[in-house]
Amino acid sequence: MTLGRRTAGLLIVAATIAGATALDISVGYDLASFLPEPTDPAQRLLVERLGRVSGADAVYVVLPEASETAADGVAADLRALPLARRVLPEAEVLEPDLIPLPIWRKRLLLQDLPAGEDAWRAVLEARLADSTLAESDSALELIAADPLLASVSALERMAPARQTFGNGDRRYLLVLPAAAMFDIGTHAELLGDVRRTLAGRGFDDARLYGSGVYSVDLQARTRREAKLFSSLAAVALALLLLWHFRAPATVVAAGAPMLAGAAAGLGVSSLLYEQVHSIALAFGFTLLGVAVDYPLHALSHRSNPGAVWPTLRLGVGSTLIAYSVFLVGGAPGLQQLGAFALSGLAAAALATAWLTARSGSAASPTIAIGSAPARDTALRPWPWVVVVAAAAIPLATHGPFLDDLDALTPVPKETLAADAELRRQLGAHDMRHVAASRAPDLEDALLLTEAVSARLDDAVLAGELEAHRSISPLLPSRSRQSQRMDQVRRFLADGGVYSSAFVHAADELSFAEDAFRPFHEDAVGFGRTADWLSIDDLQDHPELASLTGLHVLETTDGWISLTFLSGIADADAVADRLDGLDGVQVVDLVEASRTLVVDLRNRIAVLLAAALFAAGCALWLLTRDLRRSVWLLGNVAAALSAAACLGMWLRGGLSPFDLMALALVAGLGLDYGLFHSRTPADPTDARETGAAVLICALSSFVVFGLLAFSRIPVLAGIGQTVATGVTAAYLLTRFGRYPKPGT
Amino acid sequence: MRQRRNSPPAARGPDPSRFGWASVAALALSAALPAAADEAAWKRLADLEFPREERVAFVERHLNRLLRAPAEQHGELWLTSDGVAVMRVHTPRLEERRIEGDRLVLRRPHQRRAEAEEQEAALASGTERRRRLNRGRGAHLMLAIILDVLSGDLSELRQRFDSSSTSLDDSAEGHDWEIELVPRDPGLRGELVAVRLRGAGQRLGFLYLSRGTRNWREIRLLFPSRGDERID
Repeated sequence: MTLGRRTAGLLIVAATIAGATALDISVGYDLASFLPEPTDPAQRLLVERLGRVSGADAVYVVLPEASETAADGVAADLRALPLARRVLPEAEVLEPDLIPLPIWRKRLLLQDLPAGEDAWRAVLEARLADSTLAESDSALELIAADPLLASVSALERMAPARQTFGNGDRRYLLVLPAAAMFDIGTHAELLGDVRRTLAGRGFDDARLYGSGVYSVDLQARTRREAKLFSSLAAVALALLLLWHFRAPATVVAAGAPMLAGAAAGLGVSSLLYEQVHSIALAFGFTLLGVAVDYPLHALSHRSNPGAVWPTLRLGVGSTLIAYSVFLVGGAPGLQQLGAFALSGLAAAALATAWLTARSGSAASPTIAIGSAPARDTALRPWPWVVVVAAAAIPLATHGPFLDDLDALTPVPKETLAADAELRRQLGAHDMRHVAASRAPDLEDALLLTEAVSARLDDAVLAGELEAHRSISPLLPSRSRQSQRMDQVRRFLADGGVYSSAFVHAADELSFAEDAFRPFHEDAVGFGRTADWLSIDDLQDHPELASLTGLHVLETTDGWISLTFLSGIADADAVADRLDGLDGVQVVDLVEASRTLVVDLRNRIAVLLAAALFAAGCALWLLTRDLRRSVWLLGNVAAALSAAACLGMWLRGGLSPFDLMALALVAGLGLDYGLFHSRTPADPTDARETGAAVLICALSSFVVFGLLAFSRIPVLAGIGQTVATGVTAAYLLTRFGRYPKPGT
Repeated sequence: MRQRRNSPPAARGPDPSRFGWASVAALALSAALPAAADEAAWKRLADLEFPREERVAFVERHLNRLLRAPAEQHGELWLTSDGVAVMRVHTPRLEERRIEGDRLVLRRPHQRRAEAEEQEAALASGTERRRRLNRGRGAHLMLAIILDVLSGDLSELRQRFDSSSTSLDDSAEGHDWEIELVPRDPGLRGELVAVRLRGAGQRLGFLYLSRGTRNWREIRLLFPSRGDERID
């Protein structure tokens, strides 16, 4: 079978596997599955919350130079969008029909009943003022049936923003999406609809803020950049390989094993896991970059195709052993990454072997190394000793890692500052600081939350805190509901709205005798049924479900109820106030996420070191040549140091993304070292080996060198790291050897 | 000529051309008089003086189906320099209503009552609610009318209401007058039975809005210069 036919066959098989996988694969975005085991309660809370938050971040719309009427018009149009759950500001709900049914029916459980004539008078005075401002009969009906306005108050206290939706000529609107937090596709659709609506109303200059907006923009930019750079890389690589092989069919054949490896990686991951994490796929494709070299080596050795395979097998074997450490990485996402990379590399190696087996039709490579290496070479240790020593100085002077992932965001600093200011003005949920009340059952968690709320009320009065929001106003503990039920029964036993205390207060304020009869009748009916307000009532309601999910979550260990703290003026004083409440912890989610990233980075760094060690052991066991094994590992370490130093210099430190790029550098460096330390007897073979390593290095350098110019910091970082590492590895392994004297 | 002089007048039939002109004139007059009255009423409202930042005491009475008798609230009303109408209710419960364009901002202190010098602080630390002012319904319509009349911006009122003016007796402040506004839109007429404004000279003294016999509200402005008792 000719090379062309084998290539076609391989591509058909790869396309079939990829097609079948695409029909079945489910890609996940739950970051928690990629993170290491949380080591403290703050991290635990963060991991538990990730991926479970029911709603995506709001879209903040800023309308410059807009009247309130114009803003209201835009808001009305936005409310008609199917992907918008709510649009704020909303008209104040003062009609019973507009209040969610479970809240309206069980409103008597949401607030304490006043005790005594004075307390009722205070309540009724406020209702008298409300009745003055009632704009409809429905509003009067609401007052008559709910003189405490318990239903309205509970909803108001859960409002996601304070009602200040304007500043000078600017008007703000909040669009709360129906999409889940990580559903970027749906979020992108919503943003498209929002932008079209704004343009239709003449607000082409409206600005949109919110993490969902940035995610969608970033995804679009990443796609554009990835498309651009992959196109440029494909063209450059094709030209390079065409120049090298001088045969288009061979160029296509050189790409086929990589595609087969990718298809196999996808297929195996899809078979093994119900859901494959997007990061595992992205990093898996990065690690699979090593496989590009396999067909290049095999196809470049025309004189004796079989001669290259012992070295190639050694390279494949040691890389597989190295990458297998990800299987024991300790997180499901890392296991998926290992499975993808291992199956992909193995498939690519097997595909290369099948493709080049006795094909004999490979074109003659053009690159020829001027001087063939000697039959036996000595390996100079000094180049990598120098490089490692030079790299050790900056690595030792300041930490090598970049823990502030915000530094990698391509969102302009001005936009982030405007975003923060907007959230401050609107009093939007500050998601950074939360008091987490953790208990084995929901009732205890709600009781703890009520205790937290009571203490935080004092903190607000003392000026230590601006506001706090929890589920308590909407979902009191059963114990508190029971107390309120008792209050209702006592109230009714005293005569209800016909008791002397109530009648005196109402009469003094000119209320009619039967004005609050609807309230009394509802209380009588409610007192008979004693129907508690449960979390199911809220979760089954379309408008309340996401609000509930934001504050209360069930974990494997029990329940967590979150109280969001905003405008903390004195964090220590707030923490002191909550001291002594067992199961309550104030958590800085930003700090927790930072420490989680540190742990993730540490884990990846340890895994990489373990991988390198495993590869070294494998090399020694397979070759029984300690000197060569040490030399190989030294070169890889030196190449990694060079790439890491450049990353630190250019970006201030290494992120987890850079570490994955370094894993690829290690694989490629090992490959170059193995082939450069090969000592073929045949000068042609030696020449072809040198040419193959050079074309491998050039291919990687061109692809990742182009990526280094990306405007997206993460992509640019990967490009810079790999291009530098590849260059260093090639130069060190190429010039770190010399002909052994006397041979 | 002779023939005309000798003819008995009774025997003469009506002059069709004369009758026609008289009818047209009468019809024109009948149409013009209300129009003139309407215009005079709007001019009267446009000429009202309500100096900005001048605080005027008011008594508000209202009746609705929850009340057995009209309830009274006392407070101060003023128009700020940037065109916001502020009604600060002192009794029975401290409350501030700010009418800002199409927005009603309602501020209430946590404590029920506060001394005059503590009112600002009490309101600042209390709760604030913002409602969209519904110019087509109930109490909100009243507030919108107050803002429009005080600020002299009658454009919306002129679009939605016909007016008639009644002249009353002279008083110390000038000629007393009463203006009635009648909604043009049948839908609005369902919300409002009558809107009456009374005043003297260039002063507005009284607003009355009725949605039916048991659903009305009125605001009486008490000007010290007129001898009204100031309410604190």
